[in-house]
This record gives sequence, structure tokens and C-alpha cells, in this order.
Amino acid sequence: MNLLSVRELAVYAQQACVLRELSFELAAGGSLAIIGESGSGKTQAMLALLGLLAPGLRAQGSVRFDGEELIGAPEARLRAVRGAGIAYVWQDALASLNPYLRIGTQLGELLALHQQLRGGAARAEALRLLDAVRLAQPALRLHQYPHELSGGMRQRVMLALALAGAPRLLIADEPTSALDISLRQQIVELLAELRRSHRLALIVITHDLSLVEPLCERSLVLYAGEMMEAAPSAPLLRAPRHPYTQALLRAQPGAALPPQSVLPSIAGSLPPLAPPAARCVFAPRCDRADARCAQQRPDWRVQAQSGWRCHQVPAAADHGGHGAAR
Amino acid sequence: MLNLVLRRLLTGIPTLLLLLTLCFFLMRLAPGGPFDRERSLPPAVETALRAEYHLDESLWQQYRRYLGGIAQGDFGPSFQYEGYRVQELIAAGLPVSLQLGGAALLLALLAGGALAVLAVRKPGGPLDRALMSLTLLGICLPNYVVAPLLVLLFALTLGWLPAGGWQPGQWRDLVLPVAALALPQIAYIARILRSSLLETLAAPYIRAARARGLSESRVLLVHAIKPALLPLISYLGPAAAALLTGSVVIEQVFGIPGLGRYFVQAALNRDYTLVLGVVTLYGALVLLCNLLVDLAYGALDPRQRAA
Amino acid sequence: MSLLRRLPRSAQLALLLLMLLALAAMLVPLLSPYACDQIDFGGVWSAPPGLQAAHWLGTDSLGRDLLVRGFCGARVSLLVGLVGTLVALLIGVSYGALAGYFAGRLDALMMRVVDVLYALPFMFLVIVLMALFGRHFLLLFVALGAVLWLDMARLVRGQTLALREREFVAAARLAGLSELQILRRHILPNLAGVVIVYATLTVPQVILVESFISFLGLGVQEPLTSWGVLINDGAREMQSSIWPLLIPCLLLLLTLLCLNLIGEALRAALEPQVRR
Repeated sequence: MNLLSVRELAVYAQQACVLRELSFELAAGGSLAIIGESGSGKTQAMLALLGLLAPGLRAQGSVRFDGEELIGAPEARLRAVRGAGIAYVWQDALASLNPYLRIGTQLGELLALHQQLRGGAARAEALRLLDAVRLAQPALRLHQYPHELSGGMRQRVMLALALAGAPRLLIADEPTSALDISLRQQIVELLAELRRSHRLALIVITHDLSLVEPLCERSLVLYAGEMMEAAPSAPLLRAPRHPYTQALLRAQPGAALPPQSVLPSIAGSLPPLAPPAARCVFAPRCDRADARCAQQRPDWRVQAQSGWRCHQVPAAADHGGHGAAR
Repeated sequence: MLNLVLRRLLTGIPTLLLLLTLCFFLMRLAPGGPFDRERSLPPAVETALRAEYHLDESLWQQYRRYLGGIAQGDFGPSFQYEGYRVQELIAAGLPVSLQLGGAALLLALLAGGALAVLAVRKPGGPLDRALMSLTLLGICLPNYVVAPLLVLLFALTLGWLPAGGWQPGQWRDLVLPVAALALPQIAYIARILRSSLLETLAAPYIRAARARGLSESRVLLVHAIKPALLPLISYLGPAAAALLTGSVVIEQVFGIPGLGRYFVQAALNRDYTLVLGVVTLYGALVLLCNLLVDLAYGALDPRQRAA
Repeated sequence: MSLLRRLPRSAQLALLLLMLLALAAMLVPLLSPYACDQIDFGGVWSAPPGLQAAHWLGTDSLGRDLLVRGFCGARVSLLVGLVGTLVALLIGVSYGALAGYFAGRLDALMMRVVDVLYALPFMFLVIVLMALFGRHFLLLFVALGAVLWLDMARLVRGQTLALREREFVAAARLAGLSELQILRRHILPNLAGVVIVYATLTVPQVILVESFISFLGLGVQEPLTSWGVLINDGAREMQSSIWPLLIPCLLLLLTLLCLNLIGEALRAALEPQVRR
């Protein structure tokens, strides 16, 4: 049985569709990157897992964690999963740490809640966790407030808080977007290391494709709330099938470009939220779109370990090196 | 922190001086004097009295004499209560007013806080809406309306509690005046705390705390309460002052021998020194409240402490 | 008018009620056979309400019609509320707009003055003022305005500080308008939203303060009357009859409730615009 099984998860805001038919499986210790622009619905999807959607948003479909259905589960059950089963590392570490409480207080309450540790044992475990996330001078940090730490240190504290519940799945939402480039590398390495040492399954939400390969075996590309493509990370990044994934790769600043050339971008912008459409959501911005794309929603096609949703990429045609990735 | 206290003392003294000066000359500008009676006094007696109280000196001399006295802790003789110094009258009335105001503030904080916490459990829900309507009503019922109504109901109709009076150690005397003083404040506090709690509960770190599996009451009472208290605390400075002014009415309605009751009488009788003494005292109390607010701010918000 | 329609039903109802109340305050004393301070020696002394009686709501202990007196009090209380707010508005808006618009050292100085004034126990000063100088109607307005303009000044100053950084102000300056012209034509109209909301919420405050002072016996004087005076009279007589207390209390409560409802609704309707 897989650790996490998401089937046809959808998120609605009144009539508008924020997320549609999201499905994926994650084995214990497995890893997945969810790739998409901001507004593509990737964060809402993860909030729906934890039952933390903002008021006015509602989730449909099925999410099974460790065999237990989470969509529509009572609040008490969800609370038991939050932190202890699934830990969430928020995008903005500064905003996500309570500015009014010491680091030690915030760690201590989680250790008491999830691991029944108090007093000296809790302090020892807190120090161990801060050490595990490679935070220098852990004893000092316990007495400090979030605003007294640097951005990188706060990110490490966030990770320590996530580990405090001894979770089995860690969801990291843009774990490096607020950090500068040298710290970024350190956090990526730390995430990979923690995954091994704590036997974590990992979901990384990102628009930064450079995080994908070092951290995640599989990837899933979201656009405007729709799954565009899912595949093992290496072939997805090297030989993307979907026109959107291809465009996304071209728009990465890291891509090899001739000097002096203009950075490519994807023309147009995300469509506004709307009721589920009977067309390909990417069609208005797609350079390969034809009449069919504007009138009919493509089916999800599956071939081997990959899947995609595009009229222009037929299942029969083998698009390059996917065979090798198997 | 010491810095803040010192700075406040340094700005507080000129403020009080300004208040004192303003009041002093304002009162002397007003027609009438402390020795006006229905039947005017014989001229010789009046002259003697005026000389005794130094009213025959120039205004400037009187002002300097008064300030000189204050510097030595003497607020002068009362014109109305013969043989008493102002500080003696204040020492008699202040504890009563403080007791009344303190009890009302405590009640208002506890009840208002509880109502706010109840209301935010389900924002927009039936309980929230009922409580908010109720507190709106509370805001519209000033304590001089509440006081007679409470007396009418609990003292005159039901006979449960005394309609007035004040004997030391009699808690039954306290109930109605404290309730009348506190009720409007309960409403204000509940509304302010509710809206600041709602705002805080929308913060990202609250969502993050929920995502870590914390219970709703822990989120509310540990994570949200400190930031939510900040707006309430800035309200409490003026509110404490409002409780003090409110006690002017309450003391009159219930016949309580506090400072407020002295005050109105003193102003009507041109008891210059007593009025000045009480106004200065209240001014100092307001300044003190504001200082306490700032100190509490620093204690609650670690980011303020650093600055 | 579209703003009116955007308000919630409760606020619309409150507005209607308030207008009816004001209308009644104007008409009832005119149309009634009794004058505000007319003493009916044969009149029933505070009987329970009844339409058959000569006095619908009975009379007070002096034989004055309670209904008529209630609305006579309404005249004064509402008028004081309006004029007092206007005074506070006038001082507060001009002070705040000047401080905010010219910013810098002038602003710092002007706001320092406000800070100092805030620290004064104003209600006590008003009490002293009223007790010393007698109960002039005019003085009451001045006193009320003097107390309540501080909040308005702070609010307006904050808004103005934000507005003066906006592009249309820079554009007006480039177009050669003088500072005062800019202030009058571009800043003040943009302050309207905040000012309207705040003024609506100031009216009940003024009414409260006025009745507080009148309750102490320092405000409005016979033959004029206001709700504060009536409540005080009623409280003194409540052992013989509750109506002289209840009627002005209810009128006051109703008015404040309506004003607060309207104010809150206006705030909700206008504030997003104000922030933008």
C-alpha cells in the first residue's frame, strides 16, 4: 500500500475551479516534485490534503494517507495527521513562525503534543533537532525569537519544527524561494539528508526546476489547476512531452543559452479562475494549439511511468528517450 | 525600558504643568469665587478670609505660591472643607475610586475577553452574531443609563442588593456600581478583542501552527492571544481613563464617597485647590496608564523590545 | 444613492428609523397640544401608556407630558450631536490635513501638540468649564468639539500623508496648482470617505458626552431639556414611576444604535476604497 494516494482531487471556490482531477501515488520514502507557476493550484492541492483550505474553498475527491481517507475526515482525525503524519514546511519562513514566541517554545509545544516529551527530555530533543537541521549554537537559538534569526536560520527552524512531530511525509512549499543562491544549495542538501536520515517521504512544491532532480524521483507538472504531465524527473526534465513543460524548461534562467540572447518566457498569463473548461487550459498560450485544443479537453494518456494531457502528443508516438528512463 | 520610563517622566512633567496652568487660570477667569454665598459675608470677614487663603495677592503670586507648595507635596487648603488640605481629601477619596475602577476594569477584561473568545469560535455564526448585537447594545448604553436601570431592577424591584451606600468590607455595596461601570467597557473590550483576534487568526503563522497539529484552543490561547492583545492594550489606556471619569457619575448615583463625587461639587463651589488637585491627579493617572500601555506593548511584542 | 443601496438591510432600516425620529423630534412638540415645559395641573401623574389618556405616555411629577418632553429632549440631543460633530470635523479635518500635507517639521510639531492634548483628562476639563462658566449652550458645543477633534485630526493626517505621495498630487503640482489649491481640490475630496465614516461614528459620541454632562446637571438648562437631563430627572423619580426614566433611555438607546449601525455599515462599505 502506498503512503499517500490522491485520486481525482479537486478544489472549488464557489463555481470556479482551482484544481481539477489531481491524482498521484507516493510510496513510503518516495519523493515527488509538484511543478508549476504561482497560481497553478499546487499549494491549494497540498492544503487540501491537510484540510487547511481557506474558508470558501472546498475539496472533492479522495486523499488516502496510510490507508485513511482525509477528505471529509473529522477535525480531530485531521489534527492527528497534521504534524505527526504529514509535516508542512511553509514557503515564507518569517511569516510562518510566530513572531511572539521563542523558538524553544514553538518547538517544545510540538514535542509535548506529538512525542509526549516535557522538561529536560524535550529540551534535549529540541537541541537534537536543531542540530539535525545544522543550526549553529542550538542552545542559544531556543531562547531567541524568529526576528532575531537570519533567513537561512529561519528556514532551518521551520524544518526542525516539521521534524518535531516525527512525520512520515514532508511537504516543502518552495523551500528555497526566499533564500539566496548559496543558502539554496545548503537547504537542498539538508533536505536530501533529512529524507534519508528520518526515512521521510517528500513532496517539493516548486517553480524552480533546479530543485527537482536532486530531491525528487518523480515530477508532476500543474498548470491552471490541471495536471499537464507526470513522469520520472530525469526524463521529464530532459525530454519533456507536453508543450507546457517544454516552454517551462525553456524559460528557466539556468538553461544553456547563447550569450546576449533574450531570456525566453511563456507568452500570456494564467487564465482567470473559471468553471471547469471543456478545452485544454494551456491552449491560449500554446504555440502548437489547434482547433481541437480549444474545443475539447484532452484525455490523460498514460505510457509506462509517464502520463500527460495533450492532444498534440499522441500515445503511440514515442517521443524520444523515455524508454531509456524505465 | 528604563529609558522609556525616564523619557515618559521627562515629557510627563511638562504635560502636567501645562494642565495645571491651564486649569489654574481658567478657573480664575470664571465669574464667582469660593466665598460667594446666598447672603454675602460682611466685608471685614471676607477680606480676612481672602487674606487667609492668599486670594488678595496677584494672580501671578498665587500661581507661584501654588506651584511652590506642590513642589513640597502640598496641594493647598480646601476652600470647601475647612481645615483639610487637598492631599488629605484625595487620600480619603482615591482608594475608594481606585477600588471601584479597578474592580470594574478587572470584570470588564474577564467578561469582555471571554465573550470575544466565544465569538471567534465560529465567526459569522449564530453565537457570534448574537454576541455582537448584544455588545452593540452595550456600547449604546452609557453607564449613567445602566446605573439607574440596574438600581431599579436589582435594588428597588427585586430587593437583592442595596441601591447605594458604601461601607468598607461590604461586597454587596460594590456589585451594582461595579457592574454599571463595567458593562459598557465589557462591550467595547469584547468587540475590540474579537476583531483583533479575527485578524490575527488569518495570519500565516496561525495557519502554520494549525498545520503542525495544534488544537484550536492552543492556537487561540497560545499563538493568537499575544498579538491580538496589542490593540486591546492600546485601548485600555483611554479605557482606564474612561472608567475614572465614569466613576464621577457612578459615585453620584450610588452615593459613593470617592474622588469623582468631590470633584463636581468642588467645581461648582469654586474650590479651586481641590479641583486643581483632582485634575492633576487624574492627569497623572492617565499618563501612568499610557506608560503602562507602552511597557505592556514591549513585554508582549519581542520586536518592540529590540527597537 | 448607490452607496445607500449597498448598505445592509439593518443599516437601511436604521437610517429610516433615525429619519423618522428626527421628524418626530421636529413635529411632535409642534403638533402636540402640550408644550415642552407646560405643566398640566390636572394631568394624570405618570400613568401607564395608553392612547385614551390625555397624555399618551403620562406625565412627570410636575405634570409635564412625557412624550412631548422626550422629543423636546431629542431636538436638543440631536442638534448637539450634529453641531458638535461639525465642530470636531472642522477643527480635526483642517488640522489633520494641514499637518499631513505639509508633513516634515510642521507635522511633527502639530502632532506633538495632539499627543500632549491626548494626555489631558478632557472630560474633567469640560466638567470644570461647564461648572465654572455656567451652562451656555454655545460653550457646550465648543467643549465637545474640543474633546472630539483629536481622533479626527490623527485619522485625517494619516490619510493625507498617504494621499500626498500619490501620482495625481504630483501631476497637479506639475500643472502649476498652488499648495492650497491642491489641498482643497485634490486632497480634501479624497478624504471624504474616511471623514463621512468617522463623522457618523462621532455623532453618537457627542450625544453621549452631552447627555453625560447634562446628567451631572452641568449641561442644558431649563426650559431647554435633553436626554441627559431627562434621564437624570427620571432616575430621581424612579421609585414612584419608571416611565420618566425609561422613555428618554429608550430614545437615547435607539438613536445611538441606529447611528452606530449606520456608521459600521458605512465603514464596511467605504473602507476598501479608502485603503486602495
